[in-house]
Amino acid sequence: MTNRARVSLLLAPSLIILCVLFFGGFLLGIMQSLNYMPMIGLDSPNFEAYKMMFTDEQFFQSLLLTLWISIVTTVLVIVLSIVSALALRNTFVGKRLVNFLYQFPITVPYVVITIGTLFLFSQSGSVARIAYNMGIISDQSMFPELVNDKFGLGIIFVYVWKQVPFIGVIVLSILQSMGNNFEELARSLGANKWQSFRHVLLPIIIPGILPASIITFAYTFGSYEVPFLLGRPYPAVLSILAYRLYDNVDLNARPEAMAMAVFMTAFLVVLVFLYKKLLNKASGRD
Amino acid sequence: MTNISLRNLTKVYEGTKEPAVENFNLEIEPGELVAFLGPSGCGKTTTLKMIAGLHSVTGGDVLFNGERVNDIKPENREVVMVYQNYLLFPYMNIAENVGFGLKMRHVPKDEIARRVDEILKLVKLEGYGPRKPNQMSGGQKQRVALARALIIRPKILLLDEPLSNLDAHLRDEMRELILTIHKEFDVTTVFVTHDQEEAVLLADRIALIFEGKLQQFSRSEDFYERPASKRIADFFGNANYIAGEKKDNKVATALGTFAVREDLKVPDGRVTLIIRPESIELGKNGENSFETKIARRIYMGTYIRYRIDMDGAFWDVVGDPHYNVDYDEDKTAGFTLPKNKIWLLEGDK
Ligand SMILES: Nc1ncnc2c1ncn2[C@@H]1O[C@H](COP(=O)(O)OP(=O)(O)OP(=O)(O)O)[C@@H](O)[C@H]1O
Ligand SMILES: [Mg+2]
Repeated sequence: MTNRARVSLLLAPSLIILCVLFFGGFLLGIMQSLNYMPMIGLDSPNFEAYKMMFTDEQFFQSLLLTLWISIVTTVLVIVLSIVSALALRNTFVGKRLVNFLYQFPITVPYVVITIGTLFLFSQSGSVARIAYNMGIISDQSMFPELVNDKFGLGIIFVYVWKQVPFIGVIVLSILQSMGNNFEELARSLGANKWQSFRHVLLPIIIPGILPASIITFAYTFGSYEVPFLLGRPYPAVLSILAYRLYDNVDLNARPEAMAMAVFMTAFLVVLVFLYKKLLNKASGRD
Repeated sequence: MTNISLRNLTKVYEGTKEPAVENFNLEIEPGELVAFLGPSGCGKTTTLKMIAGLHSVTGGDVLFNGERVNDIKPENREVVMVYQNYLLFPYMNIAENVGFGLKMRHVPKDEIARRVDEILKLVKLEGYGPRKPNQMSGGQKQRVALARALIIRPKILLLDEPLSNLDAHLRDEMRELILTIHKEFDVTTVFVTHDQEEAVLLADRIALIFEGKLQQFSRSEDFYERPASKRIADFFGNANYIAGEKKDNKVATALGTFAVREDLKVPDGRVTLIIRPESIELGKNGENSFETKIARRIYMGTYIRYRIDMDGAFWDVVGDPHYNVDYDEDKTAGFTLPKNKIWLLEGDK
């Protein structure tokens, strides 16, 4: 047996499971989204569900909210991870402790920090109570809406808190592997601190964290439990809206739920495709 | 043109005890080409970086033309450093790399383009502008790095081991280029090397550094003829030593008494007499001659090398390249130490 054949054979079991679960499920989803469910007698596919989705006011509000949360989260994660990595790069007293605390969120499950955020920052939460007891606010309802709010602040907070260390660690390792020499060189060629960051550090860091940032975006775009606990019922993010339709007693809502799921998947696939193209173009210049 | 003075310059890195550079005092003349020479880890790069303002100084001062620059930011010093591993910005093409310093100074684009072309021509890389760094050879990268430094017309050029990553024939080429550039730009230049021969070939003066301390700063001849210590003498080629007692321009040794020059500023008492193998004359030619046994005769291809017995120690002597005189092993032969080639160090350790 050739080496190649052996490798394929060894990979086959897991690949088959992956294909059946993912592509099989995905295919079923597409079929259902097209109103094609031969088992219950629907055997003429159509685009009704998609029409319904694209004329649904709720869908667009959810899409907007989802995009807002994903984009703000991704931008904040990128900015904060770079800033924090730059700060952590220098040696200082207590660096080991700070490093540990910095990477701590990676180990905390989403559900834990989500519920923690709820307890801490809701209007009936600990921070509001402390503020009330200290007389900073006269009523707990005067505490600003930080969770279950219109702008998804609580949701964004949780995502950022969890994901900054992930990307920050990548930035740190990029910074460490490049050392100080490039920046020093730039300075001696006449770049000030900002210029050497802008023209030397950033162009090296950004390509290194782009893949991880795409993952951040995709994860935030599709995830369910954080907005479920920290979001408003209306408008809800797409994943929640889709699940609600899926879970609806009215079986007729199911195709639209599937259409939404297909839409989200297609959106992310297109995004990754564009990213790949961008990357190829950038590295094609090399 | 700019003069550089280092006054009691000291650097202790954070978290270390031993100074990387200790109490340097050095005056570099405007337009001079100076080599920092020393073994790995002796503090050459550290000193360069303090001159460039890239590392802060722990003590002492750096002065350009008499003005203290300790607190002037690197980007305002007009001192450019060229690194051993070139450090071309990988995501920029050659033209962008070379034009970097001008872009940082907000020079208009068309002027940058013109000056980049001009300087690429000077380093013989005409037309390479659109290439990426990874499409260039080591020697070409080094020339790009030089062009990138020179385009901003620095007052001081600092080269950190510019030749050590190049193979032999590229090194010759690069040496020529450095000399040409130094002449053309009239820029005060300091380059770092751990190769004694390279320093001698290129530099007007050499600063020899051991373990963070400046040992000697002088013309290269002086390192051969007037070394400040045995260690320096050894760093620059071979040297022969014999201990003796100096009195009135005469040194009494186990092998006889030798006359020395009157102008040697070594007080009477215990001394070490130094002479280079190539300075010893074959045969007894009057003053300062002696006889001893040839312990070994070593054929070196273009000349003969003798090892002669000096009262238990052995000296190297370079023989006659024309073989007019040729001694056999285990025979006794005559030698002469020319008075003006003898150098003395205080003490006999
Ligand atoms: N950033 C730093 N932090 C701590 N110690 C350092 C740092 N940079 C250099 N050193 C130490 O300072 C000493 C001098 O280093 P330096 O780089 O100046 O040596 P060098 O003469 O340039 O050596 P080489 O020929 O190997 O380049 C060394 O002992 C080195 O370990
Ligand atoms: Mg060095």
